[in-house]
Amino acid sequence: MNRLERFFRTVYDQSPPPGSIDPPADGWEALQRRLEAEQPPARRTVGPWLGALLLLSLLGLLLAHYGTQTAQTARTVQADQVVRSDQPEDRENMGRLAPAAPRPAPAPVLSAAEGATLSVTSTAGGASRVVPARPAAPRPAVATAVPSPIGSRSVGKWPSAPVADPSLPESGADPALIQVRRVAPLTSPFPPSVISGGEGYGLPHAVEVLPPVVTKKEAWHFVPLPREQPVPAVWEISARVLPSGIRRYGHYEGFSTTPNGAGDYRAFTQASGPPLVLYSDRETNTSINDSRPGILMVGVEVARRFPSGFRLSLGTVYSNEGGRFDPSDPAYARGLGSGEYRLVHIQSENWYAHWITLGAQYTINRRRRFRINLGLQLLGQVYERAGRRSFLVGGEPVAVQPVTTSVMENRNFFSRILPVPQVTFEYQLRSRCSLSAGIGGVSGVGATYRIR
Amino acid sequence: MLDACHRQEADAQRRLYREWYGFARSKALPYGRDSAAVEEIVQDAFVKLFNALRREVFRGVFAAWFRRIVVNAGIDHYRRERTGPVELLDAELAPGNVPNEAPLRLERDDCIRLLQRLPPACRMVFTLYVFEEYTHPEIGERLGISAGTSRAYLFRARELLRPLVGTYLHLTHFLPHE
Repeated sequence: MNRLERFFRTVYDQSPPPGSIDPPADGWEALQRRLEAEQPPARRTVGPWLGALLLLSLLGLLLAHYGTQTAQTARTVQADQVVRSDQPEDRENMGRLAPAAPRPAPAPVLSAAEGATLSVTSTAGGASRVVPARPAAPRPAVATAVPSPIGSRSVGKWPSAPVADPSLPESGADPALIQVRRVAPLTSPFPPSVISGGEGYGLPHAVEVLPPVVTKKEAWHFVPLPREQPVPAVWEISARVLPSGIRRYGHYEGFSTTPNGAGDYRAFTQASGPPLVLYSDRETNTSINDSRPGILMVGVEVARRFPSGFRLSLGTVYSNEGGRFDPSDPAYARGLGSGEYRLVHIQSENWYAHWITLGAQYTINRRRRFRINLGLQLLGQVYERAGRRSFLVGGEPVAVQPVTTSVMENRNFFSRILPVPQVTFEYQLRSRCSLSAGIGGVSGVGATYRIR
Repeated sequence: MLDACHRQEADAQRRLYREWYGFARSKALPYGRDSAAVEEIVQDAFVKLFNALRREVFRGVFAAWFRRIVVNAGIDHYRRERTGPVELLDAELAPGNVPNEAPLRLERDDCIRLLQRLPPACRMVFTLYVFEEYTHPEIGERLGISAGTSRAYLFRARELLRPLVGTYLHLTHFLPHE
């Protein structure tokens, strides 16, 4: 810089003190007219409202979608309870069979003294219990060898806890569908049986303008990025939680001590005393399909957002689709009278799954505070577990007797891969933190932390 | 005051305008070829300022921020006007009879008005290079010209300014020797 330039520079930098020069007489009025003319319509208030409306609509669709899934699954579950008397009996968990008994008299049950307290029934002519078959289940649990604690020769040594026995042939469904029933009390010292397999699912003049003290909390403010500046690439860590209903589904099977006309009956062994022979009361058979408050999904993802607006993400999701349920809940015995029983089948106990997610999105409005990511996510299931439990509930006095407990595990890597469209909304609260809400894929509400 | 401007309170906006009008005008002076153009740039700068304040509350060094707004308004004004006819106007200067007394007689604005005798492109390049410390590539990018053209305009501006300034003052009396 030569002398000439330094001269001009020195003169130029001598700014007059604020307020020393009066503006022209009509300057403010002209400025005010321009400001009013350039005042944009109330557009800023419409965007967030539209965004919220869209969010609610999509959330509603999502919830409706889950509801449909529940109904479908509830139907399929019933297939596990197909009972046909003309099919070969599944004797794996049964005790020694008793000889056939003439109808309508109950089938003879062997007593403990005879060494076969878990025995069950057969009917006259080998064709006495015919239950209408239900549709086959699309998610069959394939049983592997599960050593039953009860062998045909060891049943007589079992403790005196209430023990019941499904006792009837159950092989009418798909051969791949084999539900292993463990005829043992829940307090059994034996380890739970596990069935593996199964298919699933940032000058001086400013001093006078600025407040004298700027606290640290007020230091940050959002400044929209000018169009001349490129959007920097950032790493993002997001966590979201989806509170929703934990589903419970299954069905009730009604029984009564009063013989029915068809002669359908089942014998359940008890901890003490003679076997409990109950007659089917199909009119009281109902399905269970409800939910309770809980956390349906927890997801964490790491993403890279590029200056172009594209965003790649990798994450993991834990979904809990069925919680633990207490068999002693009075709701199970509601409506039961004396001599009436209800066999409760819960098909969704402690049902959860782990997923790995891979996503690609495009960020809309990325120079603004409110951003929208639109894209697609691939969900690959890496683990799934689902428990089933059946227990017998009696009315007046209410008594609960465990019948069967089984667990299905699916450890197959990427046994299910689901492409899911995803919409994510972000509202920046701080320079690094944003509130986020997602629909599809890693759904729910949460927070995003940005690292440059 | 800035918070009140964010809430679009007219009184606060008027106070800000009155307090910072002089600053804006002093920074806009080299960008306009006459007083009307300078007033227009100042108006544009305040419109940009109030629109920005309406969107977000500003925290930081206000003078630096506002100066940048004025410079951008000046560049925008140049872009709009360069397509029109270029008219070189004589600045309304009142030089003293004795050149050596010139620094005592010339007001600050009068010194800057010397720049207004330059052709618009030379004036813009000189202003951005000397006052705003832009590099030639940056000037080229902002004005839509090449860096070489920017260097040529700067050279031309120096050639035109040297005799012009010498008419009114001796720099050796104004600035110490290098």
